[in-house]
Amino acid sequence: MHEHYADAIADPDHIRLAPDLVCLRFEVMKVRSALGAVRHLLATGVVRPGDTLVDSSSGIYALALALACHRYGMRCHIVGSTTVDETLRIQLEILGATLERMPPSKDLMLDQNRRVERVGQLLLENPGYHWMRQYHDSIHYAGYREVAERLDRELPLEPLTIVGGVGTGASTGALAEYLRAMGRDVRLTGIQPFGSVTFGAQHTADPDMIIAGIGSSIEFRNVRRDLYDRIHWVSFRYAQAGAVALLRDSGIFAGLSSGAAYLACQWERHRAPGRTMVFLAPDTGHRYVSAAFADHADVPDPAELSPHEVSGSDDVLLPWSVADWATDMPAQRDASRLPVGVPGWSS
Amino acid sequence: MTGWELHARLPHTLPAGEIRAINNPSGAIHEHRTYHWNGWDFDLPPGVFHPGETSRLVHSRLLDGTLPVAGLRYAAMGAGLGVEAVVAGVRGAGVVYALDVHPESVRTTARHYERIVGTDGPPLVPLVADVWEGFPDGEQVDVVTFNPPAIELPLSDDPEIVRNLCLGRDIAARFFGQLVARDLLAEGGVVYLILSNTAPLRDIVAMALESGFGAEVLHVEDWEGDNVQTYLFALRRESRTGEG
Repeated sequence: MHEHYADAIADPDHIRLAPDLVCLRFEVMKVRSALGAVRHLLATGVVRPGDTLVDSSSGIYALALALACHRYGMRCHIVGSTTVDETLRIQLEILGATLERMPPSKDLMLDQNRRVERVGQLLLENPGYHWMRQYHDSIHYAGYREVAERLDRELPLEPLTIVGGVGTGASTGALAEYLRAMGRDVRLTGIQPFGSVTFGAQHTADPDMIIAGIGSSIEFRNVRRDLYDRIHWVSFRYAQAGAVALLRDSGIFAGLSSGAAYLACQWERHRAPGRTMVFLAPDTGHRYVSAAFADHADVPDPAELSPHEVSGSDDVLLPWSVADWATDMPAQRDASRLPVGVPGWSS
Repeated sequence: MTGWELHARLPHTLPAGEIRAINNPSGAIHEHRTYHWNGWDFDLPPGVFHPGETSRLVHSRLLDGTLPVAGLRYAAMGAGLGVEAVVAGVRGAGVVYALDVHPESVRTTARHYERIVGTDGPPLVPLVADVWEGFPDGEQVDVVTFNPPAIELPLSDDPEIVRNLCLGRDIAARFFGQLVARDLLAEGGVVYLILSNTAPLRDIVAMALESGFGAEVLHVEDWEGDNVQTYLFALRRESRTGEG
């Protein structure tokens, strides 16, 4: 029995789509990250119940943090954009979170700076506020330890390849790192959108739109690039094809990053015999109905698609490229920098 | 001597063992402490960093006018307990920006500034900011002092100590990257950078040069009893000054 709704939606469903293909299907994956981060902050005494957690977000992290605050008796203050959608705004209001909405400009970096400036003012005026820094603070890795432990129990023997959108790096990076720390043979394949600075593709641009959940034109310092073995750059259109195929093949109704991961996974699994492919589906498809699913009859069949194999980020080409990232791993990898375990808080 | 010619003559980073022997962080940062300098008393709440010899070198040079701030827009990057801000206020800066990622340090700076400089001094703009992220867009400064927490060794698991000592090249890269990309340094402006060979000094100076700055050494301190050398650089945008 779950003690809170956030706990209920934080853990993924493990769905085996084929003997060598497993989907970790989340309803809202960032809830797992936010719960782990808040729990870590409380357990280490950085914050106390009743304190306020603040961050800038206009998306799903805002909801995840609000739920985690609701779960642990914290206050939540979000600095977001006026473009925050109605569904999110109303949930935040009812959950008791404060939402400040600032008008966006055409410059993402400028918007981010203005939101950080506002967060800075709040922190200065309110000593009980704590800045979560979802893009930069590695405490957002902590919640995925339980996901890794459960995966290890359910797939105890075989070598694994984890495939997922990179985003802030917390989910894919933490899963691989925790599993490797258990002695598992794990390869990590990250998905990036064209235009993302994280793995050096800022010189490219997706003609449709950047899938913001898996990469950005602004830097996410949480990403540990040394953890990744392969990187796929996937266009909006091809991610759409993957999402439609995932629904058609398996019944899983998931978002664009899930579609991109499914596409990459299908390509990689035929090139990695003996390994079980585990891909992350971080959210449901509801938010993407009109953008991604409505014209499902017109999207390409993934079986007919293949990526450009390139030697690095300088050479990436639309609509889909893949490159080996860690050529001399694991020696290249740093020592583990995961948040240390917190006594009494283990699953 | 300036630029890459200067860079070639800068010292290499000391061996890790030597750096660890010199920097032995204590847990005192979690306690309330006091600091006395130039006849002024400072209160340090938990989490606010106690200045070391390197910081005092900057404080003294600001106070004696070697680093001029009078009438200029000045930014203390990494405000800490606020000594730089206070000195710049006393020395008659036009405006003083105090930036730090640690909110309690910014509040501490504001308290010290109010008590020592007072409301008759230049205005203080206290900013909780992640390097320059959070600095108001469209504003510029003439003078910046930057004493980065540039040791790259994991000297401690304590996040307060890491924040103050161990962020390495990353923080310097963001400092120069944002300064240039957002055009935050005014025409003729100068960054005073202080670094020792316990940090990747050559790499950080190389970042400044690659970002379009010219580098000039204003002072070298060779501390007695160890191999640490501390350099105080003046960095100016080359494209604006024509400096070679």
